Amino acid sequence: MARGNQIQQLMSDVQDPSDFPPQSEVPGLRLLDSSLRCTICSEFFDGPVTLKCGHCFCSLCIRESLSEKHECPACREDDVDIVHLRKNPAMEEVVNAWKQCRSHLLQIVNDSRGHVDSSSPSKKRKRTDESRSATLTDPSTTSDSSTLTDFVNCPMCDKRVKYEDINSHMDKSCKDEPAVTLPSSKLQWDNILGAKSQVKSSKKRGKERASSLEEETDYPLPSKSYDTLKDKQVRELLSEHDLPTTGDRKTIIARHQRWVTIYNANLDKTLKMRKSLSILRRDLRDWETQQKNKTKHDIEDPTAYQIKQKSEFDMLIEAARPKGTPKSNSVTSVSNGHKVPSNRSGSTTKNSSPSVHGGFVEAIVVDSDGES
Amino acid sequence: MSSRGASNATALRRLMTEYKQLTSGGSPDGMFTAGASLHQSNGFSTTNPISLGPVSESDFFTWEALICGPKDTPFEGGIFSAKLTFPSDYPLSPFKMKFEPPLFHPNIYPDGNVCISILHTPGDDPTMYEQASERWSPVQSVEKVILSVISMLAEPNLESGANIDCCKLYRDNRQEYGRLVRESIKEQLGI
Repeated sequence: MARGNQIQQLMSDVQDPSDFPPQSEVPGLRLLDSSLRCTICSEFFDGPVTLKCGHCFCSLCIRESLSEKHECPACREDDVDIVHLRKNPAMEEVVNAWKQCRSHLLQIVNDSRGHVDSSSPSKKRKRTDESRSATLTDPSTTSDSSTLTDFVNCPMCDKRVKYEDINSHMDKSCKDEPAVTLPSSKLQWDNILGAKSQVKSSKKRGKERASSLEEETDYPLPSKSYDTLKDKQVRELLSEHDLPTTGDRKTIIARHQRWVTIYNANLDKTLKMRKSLSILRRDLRDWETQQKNKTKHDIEDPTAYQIKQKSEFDMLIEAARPKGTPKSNSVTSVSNGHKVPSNRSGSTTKNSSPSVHGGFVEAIVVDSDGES
Repeated sequence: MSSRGASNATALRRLMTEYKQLTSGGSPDGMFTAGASLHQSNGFSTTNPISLGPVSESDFFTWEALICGPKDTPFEGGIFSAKLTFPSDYPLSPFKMKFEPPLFHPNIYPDGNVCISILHTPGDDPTMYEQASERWSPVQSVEKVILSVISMLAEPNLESGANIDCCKLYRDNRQEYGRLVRESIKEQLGI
């Protein structure tokens, strides 16, 4: 019951590109939102890294994926290794900025769409533009240079005109529309100037960040070849990082491997975004409980499992015996199957669970049968 | 089942995002209708041949898909239900897809499990025929896999057969194959 609620809550919590209106209504926004997401976890990039083919993923996601297979998940370029990962701090900045303005922008977009729906479209189009340029002057979403380019001097009358209105302004031979009269444009300037001072302060923060970036001295942990290490040495490696040293060899190796992965993934983030070591340790602990749950789930009730899988075990035992009997079996069933295939599918359902092996063995048998 | 679901937040969130994108029509092809009311198949049309979503809200790791048989194939007119089972390390590992009831098709095991390269991890290769380039990768999605399965229904891949009888029949006697498929669909629909 509680779980259902939890999922409901999580579900409403999920943000995805389709929060934004489709391309046909507001071009680009949905695309922008989806291109700032990792294609593995479908979340915003968390410590983005780039592979040598140029594809970008969360550091942790791609490290997990590379441990399964050394290829780029997107283009399948071969021989990609963890050493080929390069940090992408620029992408991280973009993602951070986008995260900040996303809900704000979403609200504006939804509001303006509501207006469009409720009244005549031609008039409202203008208002949408205005509200959009109003967001542009918002210091958190833009730099001062882009605000300034919103206005240009009219080459004929030298008046300040909004960039997007300049053509219509000149078409009307500089006869002013109300929007560009002096008081309102002065108001706009005040906005910009006010914004500017705030931009400065945020710039300072940027500088601080840059200087702290230079101080970055942490090096990634090397990956170990555990086969050459004794249990004791692995335990020493763990205690170097204040990690628990309990468990059998398999457990401590897995723990150290995971620690190296999340530690190095954390280093791929800019200093400001990094998690502290204590949080990383907590993450590791959570991961370990997850793993335990998983194995526990697998062998929850051994006897029941044995009874349930008995037919499969028998099948495997049968298959492991000298090939004489199963061969003739499958051949006869093939000839049966020709006439009444639905029957065959019914009869084989029992044997079907180890379909991988069964299918393979059968494939060989029948192929030779077909040729003869 | 449900404890596994709660244990892996990454997989759960990724599944929910995929589902949400399906429901909100975020998919470019617009081929999908996702919804909890999976069993109301009366909303089906040729433009919406698929319905897709979790079986229940308490278990996001089991989905059900309803697929309409593609046009101009023996499967045309049929509606096939399949169960998708997701592993707890999704999307690193692919999900499993099983037609219930089983479908008579060269690439579907007699028990209903689908044998398609896009659902195989690079490690396991039951047929030894598959190119690594067509295997599962974490950037694949439910949507892409279902599209592949639909095209597989139309064009069976005899190199990696799962139902050998059906493979032989398809190769040697295409007409009979078509007749049997149509018959099984009729039987399934109760006509």
